[in-house]
Amino acid sequence: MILRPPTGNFCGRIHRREFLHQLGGGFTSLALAGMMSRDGAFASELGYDNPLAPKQPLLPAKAKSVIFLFMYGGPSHIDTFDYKPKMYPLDGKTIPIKTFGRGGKKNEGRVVGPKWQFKQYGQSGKFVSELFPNIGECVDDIAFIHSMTAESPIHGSAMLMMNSGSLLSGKPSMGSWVNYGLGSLNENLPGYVVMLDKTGGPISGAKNWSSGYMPASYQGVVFRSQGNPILNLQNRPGMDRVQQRSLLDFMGDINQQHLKGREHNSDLAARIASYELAYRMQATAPEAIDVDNEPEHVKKLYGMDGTRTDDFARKCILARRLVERGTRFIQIYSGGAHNDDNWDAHGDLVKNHTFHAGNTDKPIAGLLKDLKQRGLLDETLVIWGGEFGRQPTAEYAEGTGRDHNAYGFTTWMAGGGIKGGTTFGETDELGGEAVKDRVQVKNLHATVLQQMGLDPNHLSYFYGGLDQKLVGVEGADPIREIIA
Amino acid sequence: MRFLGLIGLGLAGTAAISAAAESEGVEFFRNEVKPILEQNCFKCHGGLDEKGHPKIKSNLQLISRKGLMKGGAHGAAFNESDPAKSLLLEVVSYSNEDLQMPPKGKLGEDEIAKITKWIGMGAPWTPEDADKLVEIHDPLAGVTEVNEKTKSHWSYKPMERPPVPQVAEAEWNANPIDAFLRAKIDEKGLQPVGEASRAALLRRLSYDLTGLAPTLDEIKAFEADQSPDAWSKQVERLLASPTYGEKWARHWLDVVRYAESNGFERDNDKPYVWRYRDYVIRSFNNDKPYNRFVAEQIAGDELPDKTADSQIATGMLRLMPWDDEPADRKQHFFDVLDDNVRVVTEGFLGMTAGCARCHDHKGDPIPQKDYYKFVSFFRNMEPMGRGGKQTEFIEAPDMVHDRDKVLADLAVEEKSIREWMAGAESDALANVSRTRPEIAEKVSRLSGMDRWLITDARMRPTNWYYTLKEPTEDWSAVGFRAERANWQQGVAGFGTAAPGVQARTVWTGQDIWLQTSFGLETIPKAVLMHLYHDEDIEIYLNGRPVLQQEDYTTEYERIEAPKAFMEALQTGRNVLAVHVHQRAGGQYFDLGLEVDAITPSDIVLNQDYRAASRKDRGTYLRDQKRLEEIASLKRSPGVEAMVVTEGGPNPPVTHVLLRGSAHAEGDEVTPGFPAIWGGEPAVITPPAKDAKTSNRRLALANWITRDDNPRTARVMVNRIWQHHFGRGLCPTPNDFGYLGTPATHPELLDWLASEFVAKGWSVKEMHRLILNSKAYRMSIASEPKAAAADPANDLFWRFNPRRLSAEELRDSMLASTGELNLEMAGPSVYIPMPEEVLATSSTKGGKWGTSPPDQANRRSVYVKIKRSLQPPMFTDFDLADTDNSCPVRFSTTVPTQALAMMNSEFVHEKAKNLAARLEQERPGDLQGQIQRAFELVLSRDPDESEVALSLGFINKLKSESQLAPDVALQRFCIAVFSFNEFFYLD
Repeated sequence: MILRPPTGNFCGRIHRREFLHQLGGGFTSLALAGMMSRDGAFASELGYDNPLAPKQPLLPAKAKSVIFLFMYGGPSHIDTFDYKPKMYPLDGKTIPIKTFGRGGKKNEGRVVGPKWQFKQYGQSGKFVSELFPNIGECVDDIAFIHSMTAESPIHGSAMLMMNSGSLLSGKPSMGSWVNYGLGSLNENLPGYVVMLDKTGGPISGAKNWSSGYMPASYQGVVFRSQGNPILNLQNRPGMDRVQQRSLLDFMGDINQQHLKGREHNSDLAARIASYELAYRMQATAPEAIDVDNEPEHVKKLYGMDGTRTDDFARKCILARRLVERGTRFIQIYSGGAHNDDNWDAHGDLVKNHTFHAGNTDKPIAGLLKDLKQRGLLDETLVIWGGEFGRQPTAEYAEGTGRDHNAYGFTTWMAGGGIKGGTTFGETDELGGEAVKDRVQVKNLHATVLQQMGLDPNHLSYFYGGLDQKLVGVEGADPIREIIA
Repeated sequence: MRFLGLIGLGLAGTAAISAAAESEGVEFFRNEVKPILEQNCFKCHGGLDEKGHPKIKSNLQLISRKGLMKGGAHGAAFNESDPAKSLLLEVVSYSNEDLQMPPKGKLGEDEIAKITKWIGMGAPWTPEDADKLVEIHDPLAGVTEVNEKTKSHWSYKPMERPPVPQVAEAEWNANPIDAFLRAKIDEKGLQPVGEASRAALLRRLSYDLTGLAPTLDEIKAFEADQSPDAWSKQVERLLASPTYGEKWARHWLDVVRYAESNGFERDNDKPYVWRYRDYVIRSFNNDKPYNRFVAEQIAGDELPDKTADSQIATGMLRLMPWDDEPADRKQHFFDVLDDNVRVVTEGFLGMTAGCARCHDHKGDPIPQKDYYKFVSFFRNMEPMGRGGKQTEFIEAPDMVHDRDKVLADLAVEEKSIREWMAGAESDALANVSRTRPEIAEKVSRLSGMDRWLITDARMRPTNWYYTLKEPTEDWSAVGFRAERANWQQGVAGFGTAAPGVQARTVWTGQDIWLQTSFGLETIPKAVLMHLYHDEDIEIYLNGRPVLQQEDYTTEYERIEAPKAFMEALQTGRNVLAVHVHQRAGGQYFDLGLEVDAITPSDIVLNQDYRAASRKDRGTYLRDQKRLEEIASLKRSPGVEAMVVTEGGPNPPVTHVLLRGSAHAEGDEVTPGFPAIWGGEPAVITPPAKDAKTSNRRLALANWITRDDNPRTARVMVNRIWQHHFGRGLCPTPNDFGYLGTPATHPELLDWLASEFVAKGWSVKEMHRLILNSKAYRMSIASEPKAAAADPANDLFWRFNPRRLSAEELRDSMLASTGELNLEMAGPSVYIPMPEEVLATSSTKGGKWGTSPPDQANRRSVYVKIKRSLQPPMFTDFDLADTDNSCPVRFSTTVPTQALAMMNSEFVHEKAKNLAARLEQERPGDLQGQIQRAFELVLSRDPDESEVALSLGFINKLKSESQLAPDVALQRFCIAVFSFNEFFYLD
């Protein structure tokens, strides 16, 4: 859409050349767009048609940034936000029900009643489980989608689906699409940031924030809330800014001499500029990510207080600071690695969810409240959810563990032009499958793109003989019922 | 995105019919059914979207009876002969899991009842719109049909050898390439630029052919060579270098999406896949004719003159990402075939046939049927084996040497080793019982059940699920539940009888498959397996193959659980799956797992126990290693490699899959070739009754490698051109179709292609032809008039500069420090991975290994390629994505690259090593060191001003930043690695 070449090219598709011409995203920026070599392996002398021009969304944009709080492992919807009062008395009863999880397809199972009580919050009166007393206070800003469905109940493929719209590896992730479509608003910071759990990355690692067939500059940049925040951002021991300046000046002198007779190769100047930009980034990025200097009341709001919420609170504060500075897409993982290090509660549901909800409830509520009081929530789309939900029945003969469930689960959104206090879609009385207003992952993606001012059905990238889209070749509608 | 133009809403058949005459059926439809359809179906099946564009999903229009009858991608929605079986009823009833409409949720029961009733009435429709259909004008419609016009598209036309033009300037007529290029330049009234300097030329040539810089001495020798064939001697020298194969293999590996792991959740290794990489390197170095190279990769196991190499070549069809735990196993089987069809058609034919998986191609004359014809050639391929394994021991005439004698020798050796080891173990146990009874106490024993994960029949027999009938293919996979597959239960051991043991569950057949599970709270340090088997056994833990043994035992063998077993352990539920195969005589199986037991070998080897002498420990260790080798040698008549296998000579039927769904079979297809080229059926050599394969891939290989195949030669010469000139004559090397960018010089491309075939498909001959042109030797200089007329250099009036690739950058830095290890071939090596990157993996350390320093310094083509974990130095500089065929790499300039060049551990270490080398070679001579650095990194001497700038920089660091001389020199080296001159080739 926004990258349609001006000339009436055959079927309006984008040539790599034109596309690269207008490139800017990932860990590059608008100002860097001109630094991209325009035709793969070599530079050409095409003049720049103002490659620095900001990429204006074609649709009116409601949101400028996205914060995707990824509850990796699959939180149980029926124990969190999808209230199923009729389930409590069924606890322990074996009933016929169709389920599909990592243990395969089953036709009956032992019901595990919701393990927490629910209570109503806000003007909307939304029922929220006691796992999330703080998020409960924010329900009037949230739209809950209870009728999510996914194509796979297995982590590997379901993660790829939620992040890139495809069960198969090799497709660009949502953050890559957003940056491809919009570029970054801050040349000194990456446009697509990923923060992982301290226990490790999710299954498939970097494939979850990959740029697939797009250039690697659109892939997510991993930020760490402690230690060296970005790979290679810090100088190595013994190297200081003064030395680095001398080094850049010396390189600059040599490169200037080399440039003689090669002025037409614009890549050479772009490379020189990229070093200067990196140098500036090293100076500005540490300030941007310095959460320790936030005022006490802000830290308290998020739960950055040395307790169990501290880690996720830091990440949420950092996300807000990045949003303030123009980063387009931020993804924060709650949970990493395998088994109970994430929301994958196969064994002891109570232990697992108490742990992960307890670590994140206050920071997430803090984020929503803080964004709101700064007037940023209107232009920041916050998404909460996992790659799927969990089954109403027990996985094993004993215990409370639930297997995966892609037939129905809950994702919520807030801010960024989303209608707060809304509940959309329904699962059946047991939360086994979505029955009303069913939506797919691609509808969620379409909603995100739409709110960012990108037309989900026209934002495309030509690869392998196809106009590839995040929402798939068949297209998808946004979920209009939750849009304000 | 292209737009569908709305030509008009045809309102045919609007003969006035009075409402009064309306039949009961029509009335029922109008009042009861039509509103349901309007509300739930019209929007996507014939209605208009918000922008007024028609929306016709799955090509189905439900806005009229005509549309209902015509149907869509799944066929007619209404079944006239048996209305109850109408597709419409099936989808609204939600009985088919893959096709449920409307997608947002099931209709109410009363609504479904009304529709059912209406369908039963014969689906009467309101006459005023019964024939209404939305007509779509597709601007691409003209090119998606096979007709005379599309057949004459430049790349669908048969290849012809065009006449070579004559140009005015005689020198440009010597090489046909120059004549073709010059003719077009002359036509535009432009002039080509002159020749590049000899230094620039040799640097260009060395990198293009070998991926490595020339030495300054090589440049000086070339500059001094006044003979007329000075240049072609350089071309020959570099073509003969084995580093040539390494460089050009990498181009090919990009096209075939080469990687050494499967991706997805476990991202397991693809065992021995590196043999394929070595095969590609060998093939380029030996100038294997390209037609043979293609045939081997598609059907190397079916060739009449197959070799070990030709079989290894089929590993190409196993390189794809593969999900060992897909949500839909059947669909994923076709995903894998799809990946292969894409790589074969895009890679060899420049044809995006993959776009026709779900429907006819929307931009090329490729019907969906053609796609499934391609699928049918591969349909008989066996899916990836358990745990992602798909290796075979390749027996080939060129690899089997006197096998019987080898086996006999090995048996003798093994016997004597085992006897010695048993003696050492019992001596050590005797010693430890005396000196450290508490240790002896911990030696593996049959009491203390708490130490056993699974007990064997000597203690308390474990209850196993088992079956004697061959189970489904996924029996060992994660998620397979034996109880649900109706397996029986029985207690160990299984079989008839064996020395010293009693069978509790009788098994008399040839095969038994078993499954049991155990729970773990923490991962033990070691597990001891007590295994009794008769005969061949394979054991899987959590879906991964962990142990395989042949023959039989005559007692419980104590085996320390192998690495694969320990790595597959997880907290929570662990599933053990076993298959035992009996070859002759009796049969028996039993297995126990003991945790953290001290084994007899521990007693010998643990120095703390002081139970064996240092010398005996050494011998024991060597013997252990040798036993492993013997086991592998016994198994391998040839070499183990990842290859394609088929299940026999008779492939299953291939169907067109509607909408690409494995669960919606359409018409049957048989192997044949694309309609645009005649659509002839494939001629398949009938396989022998007991043949392992169907010969279908051979038929495809034969067609692709025909001298008159319209694409194969064109596509390959275009790739060769691309990697010399920076872009292909056709700039979209994987797509020669309507959606690709047309070739700038189609005549030259055709001439080269015909020459390629005429020269026996020799790739090196093509290099010679191209490299000996004037065009290749042009300088990168610009010229205002030409730059204004042709800024993109479409005419090749000058040479295109290029940035070094990720591999070239790393290899060159290693070469400059003297560390580059040019050892060729073999398993891939691990290079140091920053801790920040390892932390992104879901497993600790990312299952990334460590290689000894000299191995970690091998060329980049030998560095391990793990799909989920890639070295940042490579990804920063645009390494090819491993999940898709990559015809052209990106060449980006972004600040992460600058950060890596200034701050990464790798660059700092190389700078340190380069500085050390400079100090060693020019001790105390700073100016000499500067000179040598230019020489090693840029292959030239610095000029005076550069020396002065360098001295100034180093001295400033020493004086202003108080840096020690060696550190200041290291900073200088960092700068040299970042010079634009190092990054870009003239």
